[in-house]
Amino acid sequence: MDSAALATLSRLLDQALDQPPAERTAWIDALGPEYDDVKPRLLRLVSDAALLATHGPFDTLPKWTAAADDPPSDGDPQPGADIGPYRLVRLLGEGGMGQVWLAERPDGMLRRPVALKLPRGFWQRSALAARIARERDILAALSHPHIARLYDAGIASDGQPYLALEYVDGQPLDVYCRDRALGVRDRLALFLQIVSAIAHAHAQLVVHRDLKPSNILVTRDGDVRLLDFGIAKLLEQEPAGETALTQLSGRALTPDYASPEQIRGHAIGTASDIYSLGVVLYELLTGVRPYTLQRDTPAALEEAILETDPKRPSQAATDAAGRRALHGDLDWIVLKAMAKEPRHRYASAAALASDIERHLRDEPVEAGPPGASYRMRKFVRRHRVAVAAAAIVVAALVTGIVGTTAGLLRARRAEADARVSAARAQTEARTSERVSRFLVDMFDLAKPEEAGGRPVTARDMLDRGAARIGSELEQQPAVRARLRRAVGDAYSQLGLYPEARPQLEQAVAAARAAGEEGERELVVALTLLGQLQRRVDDAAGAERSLREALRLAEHRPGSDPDELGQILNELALLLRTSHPDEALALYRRTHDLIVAAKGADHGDAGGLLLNIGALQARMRRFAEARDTYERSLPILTNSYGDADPRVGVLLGNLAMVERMLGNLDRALELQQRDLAVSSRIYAADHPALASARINLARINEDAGDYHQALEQIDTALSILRKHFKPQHGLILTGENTRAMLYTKLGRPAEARAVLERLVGLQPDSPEADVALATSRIQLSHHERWASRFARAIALTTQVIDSQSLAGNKSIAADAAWAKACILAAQRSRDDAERWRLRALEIQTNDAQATAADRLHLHARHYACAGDPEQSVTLLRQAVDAGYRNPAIHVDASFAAVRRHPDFPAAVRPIRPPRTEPR
Amino acid sequence: MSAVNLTELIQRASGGDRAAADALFAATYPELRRMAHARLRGGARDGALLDTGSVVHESYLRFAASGQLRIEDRVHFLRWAGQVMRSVIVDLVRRSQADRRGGDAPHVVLTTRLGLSGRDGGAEEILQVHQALDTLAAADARLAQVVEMRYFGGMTEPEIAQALGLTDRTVRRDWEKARLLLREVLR
Repeated sequence: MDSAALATLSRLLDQALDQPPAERTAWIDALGPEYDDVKPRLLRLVSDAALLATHGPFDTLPKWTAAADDPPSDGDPQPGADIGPYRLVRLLGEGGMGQVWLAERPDGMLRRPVALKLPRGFWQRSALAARIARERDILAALSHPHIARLYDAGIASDGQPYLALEYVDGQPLDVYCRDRALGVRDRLALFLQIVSAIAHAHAQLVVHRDLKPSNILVTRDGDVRLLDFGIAKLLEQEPAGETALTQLSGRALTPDYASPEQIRGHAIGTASDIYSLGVVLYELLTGVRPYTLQRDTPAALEEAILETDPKRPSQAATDAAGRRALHGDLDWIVLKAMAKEPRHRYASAAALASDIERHLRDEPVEAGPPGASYRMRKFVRRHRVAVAAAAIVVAALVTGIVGTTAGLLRARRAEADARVSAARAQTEARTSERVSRFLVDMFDLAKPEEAGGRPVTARDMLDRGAARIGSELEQQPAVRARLRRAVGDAYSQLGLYPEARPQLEQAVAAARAAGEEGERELVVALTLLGQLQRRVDDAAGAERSLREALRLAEHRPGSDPDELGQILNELALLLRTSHPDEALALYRRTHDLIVAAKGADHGDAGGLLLNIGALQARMRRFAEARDTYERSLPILTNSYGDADPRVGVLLGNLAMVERMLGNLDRALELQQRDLAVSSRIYAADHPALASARINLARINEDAGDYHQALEQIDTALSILRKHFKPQHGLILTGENTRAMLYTKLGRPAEARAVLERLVGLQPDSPEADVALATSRIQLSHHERWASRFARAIALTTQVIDSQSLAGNKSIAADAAWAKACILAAQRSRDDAERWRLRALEIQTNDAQATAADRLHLHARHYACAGDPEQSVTLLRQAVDAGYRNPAIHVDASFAAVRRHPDFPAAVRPIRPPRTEPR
Repeated sequence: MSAVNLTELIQRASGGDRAAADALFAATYPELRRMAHARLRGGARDGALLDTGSVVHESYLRFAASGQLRIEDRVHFLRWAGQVMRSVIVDLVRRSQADRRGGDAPHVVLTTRLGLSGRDGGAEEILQVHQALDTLAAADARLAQVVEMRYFGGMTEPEIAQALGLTDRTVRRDWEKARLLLREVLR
């Protein structure tokens, strides 16, 4: 049986077991024809269930006959053992991840010895087999004199995975160099062999991912062989469906050679190998690793890799000769390869090789702060210390490529530059030249001696640069605009919004003053300013900036579609709540742009549909939202695989939409899929799983399955309590639901206990405020049922009078309703009527309410006003409009209406809730 | 074995760090295996029951005593121990199977489980459950984890509930379902 069939069976079994034992068979028989083929299985399982109660299989591990040899010190394979088609000869090495054996094929197919890797770990072996099958051919195709071949990979019959690699008789790189006391030039020659192997692999789109000296062997003849190409990926647990080169990498455990993006768990590609090459070269030249640590822990190392700049190799070298040899070119080559940002590294292994070759020929090298002009490089040579401190920010300034969340826009800017007309290009070039010159001067300012001997921070450089733009560039508005914008963006990225804002505002002003020459800059600066304004909650300013940017971008020939998409997206984000219709239109335009540029099946298009669906759902246009989500689902699964957070979010959102549309069975199925997907992505106690369970509970509750709902809520809460303090909004919402379920299950004492605890808490967020108001309203009903009217009234008054809740219509309506109920119970008929009408008025004015909700509220009003006839008529209309809440069968307000002869017919489509305990 | 900080590994592994999970495996496997093996030798040899639960708990105590694990990490440790124990058991069983392939006299263990009988029904069952678990995991990861902890790890339902953050009732229900489904897969 495959796992999909098993999942269906599991779901149905759950439901079947929920039925009283005597009714299970009938329940299964009543399943639709689509389940015909699972019915016999299900019947058998259910009949087995009774038996299991007394003596179940698998209750304990069975006896088995232990191995005869005594004592088998461990279960590791021994020489002579067969693994797949290979016979083990001798153990070559062993590490935490497994063993490596020298092995050969006894069948004589291939006499040459192989290095057989026997990894161990927590793999799901079936998934591993599939991955091995997929990757083996790619890796086996890597044929290069400096790459050890992967001959074969597979799973032996006993489940042990194995990898057969070319056996290399050699020494690890570091040992080889040390033993022979090689000089710098010889070491570089070896390194060039390594780089050529990497370049070859990258051309085949294979990334090594685990480059380190112990994976680089040198034979007696001085030939380098790289081991384990792509193996790190092969052995990684990956969610199904991800493609080569785009998937997220697991973090390396000993991250000495891991790139920052690898440590962050971001997507890694060839640039990650370039970084590792840089570390290998560093160690090859200096004999030490780049980071010296205060604490020798993996965490400290990771921190260093992410946060600190390594010492220059020439400073790290242990002897004077080494220091002299490394000073200059080699320092910069190594540091460029090891840049924190992938885009600041060498673009390819070949580029790294060329620079080393240039150095060996005593020609000037490319390295230096990335993208800098020749003059800049010269300057950099004179003032390395200052530069190193701020290299990243400055590099960003020079290129104008200042990455933010707006990756879409930035990545393409270089291309957009290439597309502008020739005349424009000339102007651009002139501006760029001036920008470069200015920045060179900025470096001069950043010399440590001018900074009073303290280290120069990025912030210092920005402050000084910002000050000088004003004084020196009065006559060059285009240059000034570009510099202000770059400085503003850099501040923004450092989170210094107050400093960023005037820079961006002045960039906008300068770009305007530059006229035609500053047109493009104006669009960019306005977009950044708008984004900043949105972040600091200046909605009006943001809207003004973004709308102007949009108008300009639309009228400017040759605009980049991504640039336009970026503006539209920012604007949509801004208008989502205040002008949802327009936001929707903007999202649609963005979607069209992406479709035109990248195709309708591109993951970005799917992601945008997800945004659109969410907005439609927020606007309570549920049918449209469903269609949008349904369109997005195949795109997202095709682009990212099943086990992707986006897919989980989409399934959950779609489930909620189906729930609102009254399709509870479908909602339940989708929500369970979301839970299954999320369980594969997240640890069992991750908050994402809690929200999936809360949603599941809501569906269960709507379906009248209060027991199941309660169980989901309990699980969700136990997860949330591990992560959040007790007055966190999510926890309070969960607790409220729990209390509600207890009430519906006829367990008021437990409900009350929960609520009494909640109303004693101090809210510390708007969400908590709303949740606690709900608790008070719930508790007021309980007090009313217990005839403690004074406290009941006090609780509702607290909510009604609350300033912080003034804008919340649904809370206001609930509180008014609760108060009306209390007054009615106290026989203050007129007052009750007044508060009922107020509740009704608030609710019918609530744009969020559906027709079904409103009709139900009117029906409830008449029920309480003592007119069951009118109430039942309205109720029938509510049901026709889609009202499906099973609470109608238990809601005390409708007690009299339920005795009306027309009631059963009016609510026929609503199943009564199941309240007897299981 | 060098003193690896299991607490940190467990934290990282639980946060989804696969490399940490593998390192955790590598750090705990030998100890669990050594203890399981010692039990087998000390009387559990010829088809006696191996109480894996006590192996798991004793290993936890040892890790805690050596300072590799904090006392409060017990429940987190249990979450991972089921998987490691599964590998230990499966490897031990495989080894015994491979051993007997070499011409050992047939050794009959009577068992009613699964209707598996013959040379070594217990070993057969263990290997089959091991394989079926992969299928089950793909359909419902939590069910598979409960089986791992219960069947291979010998843990009690309350322990599993605590470790996975579930109610006792949910675990009981999961276990009931998992047994039914496993039987179905193995049928």
